[in-house]
Parts: sequence; C-alpha cells; structure tokens
Amino acid sequence: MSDVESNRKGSGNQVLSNLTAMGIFGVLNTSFVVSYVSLIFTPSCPEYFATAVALFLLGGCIVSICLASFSSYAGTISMIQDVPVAIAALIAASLATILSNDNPQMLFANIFAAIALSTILTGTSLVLLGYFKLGNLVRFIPYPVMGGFLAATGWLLFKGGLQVSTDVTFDILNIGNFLSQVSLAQLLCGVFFGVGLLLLNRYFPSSMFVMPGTIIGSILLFLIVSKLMGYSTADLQSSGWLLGSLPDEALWKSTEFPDISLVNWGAVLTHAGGISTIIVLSVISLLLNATGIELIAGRDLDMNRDLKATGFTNIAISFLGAPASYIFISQTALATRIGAKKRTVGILHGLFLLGIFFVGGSFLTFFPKFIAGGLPLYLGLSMLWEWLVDLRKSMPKVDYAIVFLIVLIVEFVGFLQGIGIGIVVSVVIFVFRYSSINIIKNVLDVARLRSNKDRPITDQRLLDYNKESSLILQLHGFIFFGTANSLYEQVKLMVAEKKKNIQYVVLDMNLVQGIDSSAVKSFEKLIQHLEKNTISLALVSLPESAYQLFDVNGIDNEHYPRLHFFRSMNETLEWCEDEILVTEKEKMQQLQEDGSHVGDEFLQAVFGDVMAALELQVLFETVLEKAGKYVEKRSVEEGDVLYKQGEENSDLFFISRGQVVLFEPEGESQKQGVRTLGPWSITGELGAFLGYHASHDAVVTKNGVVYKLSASEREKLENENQSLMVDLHKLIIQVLGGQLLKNSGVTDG
Amino acid sequence: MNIETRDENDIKIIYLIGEMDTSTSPQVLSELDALRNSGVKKMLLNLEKLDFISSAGLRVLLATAQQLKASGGDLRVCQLNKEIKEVFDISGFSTLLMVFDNEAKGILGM
Repeated sequence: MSDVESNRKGSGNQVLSNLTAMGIFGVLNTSFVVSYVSLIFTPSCPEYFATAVALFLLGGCIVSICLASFSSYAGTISMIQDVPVAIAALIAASLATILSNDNPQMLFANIFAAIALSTILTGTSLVLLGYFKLGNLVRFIPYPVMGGFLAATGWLLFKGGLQVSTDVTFDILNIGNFLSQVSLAQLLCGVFFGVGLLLLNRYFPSSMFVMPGTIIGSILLFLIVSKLMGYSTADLQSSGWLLGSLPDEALWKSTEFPDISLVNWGAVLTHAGGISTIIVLSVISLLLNATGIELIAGRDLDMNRDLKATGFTNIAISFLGAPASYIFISQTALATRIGAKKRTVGILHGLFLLGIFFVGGSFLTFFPKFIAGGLPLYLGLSMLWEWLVDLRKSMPKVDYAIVFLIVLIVEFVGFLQGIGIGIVVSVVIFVFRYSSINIIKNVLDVARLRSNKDRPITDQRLLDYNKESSLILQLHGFIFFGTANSLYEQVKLMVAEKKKNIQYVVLDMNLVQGIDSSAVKSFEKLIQHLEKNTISLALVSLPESAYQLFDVNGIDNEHYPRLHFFRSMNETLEWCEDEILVTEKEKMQQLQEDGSHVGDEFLQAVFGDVMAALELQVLFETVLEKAGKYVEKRSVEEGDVLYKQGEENSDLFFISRGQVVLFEPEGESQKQGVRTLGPWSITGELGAFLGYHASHDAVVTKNGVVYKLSASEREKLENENQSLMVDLHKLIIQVLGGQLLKNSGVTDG
Repeated sequence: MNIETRDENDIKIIYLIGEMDTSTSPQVLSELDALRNSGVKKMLLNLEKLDFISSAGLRVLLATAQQLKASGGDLRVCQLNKEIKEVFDISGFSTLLMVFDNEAKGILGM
C-alpha cells in the first residue's frame, strides 16, 4: 500500500472515529443534561426545566469546544460532571426549603445564583492552582477520603435518581413512607433501567454502544409499549411518566436568564459549605481524571495548563448557571480507544450539543422520567459499586471503614462534615501508622563504621575490641512526636542491655527529612537519660530548623556537657574513635601499672597484624631510601597543598611524617575531609598512573616530611633501576590494596 | 649504633644509642637475641639516646617483646625522646609496649 493510500485510509478512519464518538457522546451527554436538570430543578421549579436544559447544553457545548481546543491532551471530551451536580441538587433542595416554594421565578434565580457562584469559584480556584503550579496537590488527599467522597457522591446520585423517577424524596430512615407514596411501576422502571445499565456495562465494559443503545432502545420500547396499550402522549404526561410539558420549539428560544434582583444572597451564602465542597471535589476530580488520562494515553499531561484552561472555561460557563465541568475520563478514554484522539472529536461533540440547543426541544417531550432518573441512579450505583463494593477487596479494613464513615456522615450530617471528618480520621490513622515505622535504619558501631582517618593497626584492633562502647544509629524519615518517642524508648532499651559498655551514642540524621517541635521534647528526655548514665550523645547533620528548635529550648552543650553536634559522620566517627582510644589506652596503662597482664594478651592478639603492617612500612622506607636520588624530600607545614582538585597531577607523594587530608572538591557548601593520611601512606596515584585529574585537594594538616616522585624521575627510575621499580610497584599495590580493603569494609580474604 | 647494658637485679637495662634503621637493626636484633639466649628474661630499654628508629627497628623491638613475654619474661621501654615518642604513638607501639618516663618507674613491679 502506498503512503498516499495509507494516509487516505488513516484519515478516513479518523473521520469515522470522530463522527462515531460525536454521535454517541452527543446523545449520551444530552441525556445526562436532561437527567442533571431533572435532579436539580424538577423537584423545586419544574417550570424552568427547558430553560435549564438549554443553559446546560450551551454550557456543555462551550466546555467541550474550549477544552478540546486548549487542553494538553488533544482527544479530550469534557462535560458538566455528576459530582458537582449531586451537591448542587442538595443545595437546590435546601434553597427550596428555606425560600418560598410558591415563587418558582425566585427559586430558579436563587438556584441559578448558587450554581453560578460555585462554578465561578471553582474556575477561579483552578486558574489559581494552575498559575501557582500546584497541580500536584491532589496527591496529598488520602485515598480512603477520595473513596469516601466518591461513594458518598454515588449515594446522593442514587437517591436523586429515585426522586426524579418517582417525584418522591427518598429517605433511608423512612423507606416505608417512600414506598407508600410512589408509583411502583415508575419506581421499578427507573430501578430496572439503572440496574440494567449497570449490569450491561459491567458485562460489556469495552462496548461503546451499550449506553446510548440502551437509552435509545428503552425510549423506543417505552413509546411502542405505551402506544400498544393505548396511551397518548398527553396521558403519559398527565400520569407523570414523561418529563413534562415542554415548549414545542427550539431550545434556544427557552433560554432565559433569571432576574438577579430576586436572589437572596444571604440564603445562597448559607450554602457556603456545599459550594466549598463542589470546589474541593471538582479540583480533586479534575486532577484525578487527568492522572487517569495520563495512564490511558501513556504520556504526561501538563496539569497546570489543564487547570488554567478548565478554570477559565468554568468562569465563562458560570454566567450560564452551568455546574462545574471538566474532563470526562470514561468518554475521553473511550474516544482514545476508538482512535478519536484529535481535537476535532471534542469540537464535534460540542457542535452536536449546539445543534440540540438550536433544533432540539420537541424530542425532550418524549423523554421518559424513569430514564432521566435511571441515569443518575445508574451513575450512583456504579460509583457505589466501585468505591464501596470493589474497594473492600483491595483496601485495608481500617481504610475501608473511613470510606464507609464518610458515606454515613454525608447522609446523616452533611457533605463537608463528611469530608472534614474523613480527612481528620485519615490523618490520625496515618500518624498512628507512621509512628510504628522504625526510624532507625541501621544499628552500627565503630567496628563496622570507621572514620576515614588512617590509624595504626593497634588502634584499629582496640576499636574492634571496644565496639560495644559505641552505638551508632542511622535514622531516616520524619521525626515527630510519634517516632521520636519510639526512638527514645529504643535507645533506652539498647543502653539498658549494654549498660556497662556504651559510652557514646551517635544519631546520624543525614537521611532525616525533618523534626517537629514536639519531637524536641523527646530528644531532651533522651539527652537527660544519657547524661544520667554518663553517656555522650553525638547528633550528626541535625537539620538547621531542628538545630534552632534545640537552641531555643536550651538543648546545647552548655546545659548538657555530653551533648555534641557534628556536621558530618566522618568528623563524628573520628571524634568518637579518638575518645574511645584515649579512654582505653589510659585504662590499659593503669591496669598494666597495677600488674595486670592485659597488655601481654593484647600483644599476643595483634602481633601477627602488627608484624604484617611493619613489613609494609619497612618496604616503604627501603624503597624511599633506595630511590633517594629520584625523589625530592620536602618538609611540609600545616596548610601546604600537595595538589589541587581538577589539576593535572602526575606526581606521587610518599608521606613519611605528618598528616595529609584529602578534601572534597571546592564548591561544596562545607569543605569536608574525605580521607586522612598518616605516615607510610601514598597519594597522587590516580594522576600518576591513570592520568586522571586530581579529584580532591591534598592539604597538609600536620607538619612533617613528604617525598615527591615526579613523572620524569619515575620514568628515569624505570629505565635505570628495574628492580627498584618492581619494589615500588609492589609497595603501591600493597598500600592501595590496604586502603581499598579499609574503604570496602572487607576484613579478610 | 651502640648498645650498652647494665644489670639491676634480674633486669637487664639496655641503652640504645644512635640510629636504629634498616642497616643497624639486624645488629640490635642479634645482640638482644644473644642476651635472651643467655637467660635474660626481663629487659628495660632506655631510648633516651636513640635518635631515630625505623620500622625495621620497631620490628626488632616487637619480635623481642613477643619472645620474652612468650617465655614468661618482659620487655619495657623508658625515657623516650620527642622524636621516638612520636614514632611510637603513630605506629601504635605506645599501646603495645609498656612505656615509662624513667628507669625507676620501668623497673617498678617488673
């Protein structure tokens, strides 16, 4: 097939996909609009049914075209959404109770104003969130709370659906009364339609024809059966089976804006809670829908762009009194699946709604009430099924209890209260759960975690033998009252287990994200406990904010002499090792003076290791002695630099006396030594043998003597004294091998 | 490199004078071995006049100390000058061997 033919076939498919999607979603969303209007306006002001349908259709048209044009995902289908509608219906019912039912004009104006206010505020919130790039906020809403919102919304839609189908308010505490008032046939038709749609969608989840097919099929079946039974349209209208008497003309002619002077703003503003709920839920739902689309489309969306586009669109449609609208995840997914991924699909869908707005109207006369009620009933049931039934299997019981609790509070107290209590309970449970996470990542000691300081083998063995005197805890996560107390209890227990031995407790907070003010008290308790047991505490890399909290609370070295603060773990380990060595050496000296044979035992234990170290030192000195004419002897003083990071250094340095520290590259916020080299050490080998630029600054920190072997002298040595060169290589291999073993923590093999 | 000795009861006090490096260390080792073989079990090395000690010298001291201690004897050092003390500290010999400020303290309890 040629490219031209392939392209033609591709665009042909695209046109077919777009037209199919337009037809299906157009019919479906027109039905939804009729249902939504029935839900909100029919119970309080049915006279304005056609007007509201016209305004909602126009709003839906604007939303669909605008978001298809400006969203970051081209195949977007957007529409008025069920969640804001469910809460708007609650507000409308409440307004009808507060205001006089006798004046539909005033009721319409007030309901219009409340919806418009909620939509304009939702739009403004979305724009602000997008402007300040806060699209990721949704990730902070606990999942059970989200589930609870959606299950509760499902419940409200279910109840609304029953009401639209039967014209009787459903009260779960008074089901008997409800059943005694309704027409059982109308109720059964609504329930049968809703449940049937739910089952069909569950059995044929990927079929895009199920829903529009069922709606059109049901309308036709209803009209045919009615006709066969001899009922006229007037009979059906008078017996409450049809939506009502509608103007037999184009819907746009029914468009009418309310008289704003009739709005009782005080009454509207008493529903600030409901309006806030619409805003919060719309933001969350939009972001969740967009996240879902990312998964379906397999690419990231620009959340902040979509927030702004949806926000401005909602501000625009608020003047039509249309409820908050945003991306329709199921329809967008379906359109994507059938290949309608271009902006055209959303625009065509909008134009379809515009077409209904201009030419429709009379067909709504034949729209059965049980279908207008059955649709929200279906939506409610499917949400309840998803968030109350399916979720039970995949959610821990405690989380599921929160979902259930939210639904109960929404039903018996209020929507916002349900959300609020859900969030509070979730946060409390989160705190409880997080407290049970152990913030101690690793428990170590000076035998397993050493500083980078080169120490003689005797000191290394002394540290090994006295590892119990140190307790090094690597902490992670966030330290707050829950975790801090657990840390206090654990350290207390560890100290009690090794009471006679532990002299130093080190808390490494490099991986700690933060400490809250209440945790400081637990730290103070810990510090007091350790002071009482004459144990020193070293806090490493304490976050700056926490340091200030400690300072304000007087937790410092002045008040607690055994408390020490360090910037780096290496610095801490060096301090801890020095302290242990001084103490142990003094102890050994004293014991020996008292006639103990502890020194003899130590000598026997380390003899082999010390002799091996001395062999290497002898080799080091012999090589330097023989290489006298090739090496340059340098007396070095504190602060002298052997080489600098980034420089080309081909010289080898043999440290005979004194001390050299390799520092982290310049530019680090705080310069830190990464390795301390003493006598019988070599540095500069990477540049000398591999040609690398120096990775550190090598700085003399104690006066001493260093021998330099330059590249040219090394070449001369290689040519003139091959046996010495062999010894030099042997020395370098042994010294570097030793350093490698130390760095990798390997102690044998 | 000179080695002088004197007896204090059953303790042999040994004075190491000069530099104890790769070339002189074998000489020190053979003299200490000879003393040990002659039955000396307790040695106190006075290092006041030792100007330099290399790793080869340290190795001699350590080997002798180990052999004496294994046979129930003892080796102690005293009167280290600044340079030798620094080498002892760096190499860990201050921990390995019993180091005293003067002969009297070194002899005490030996």
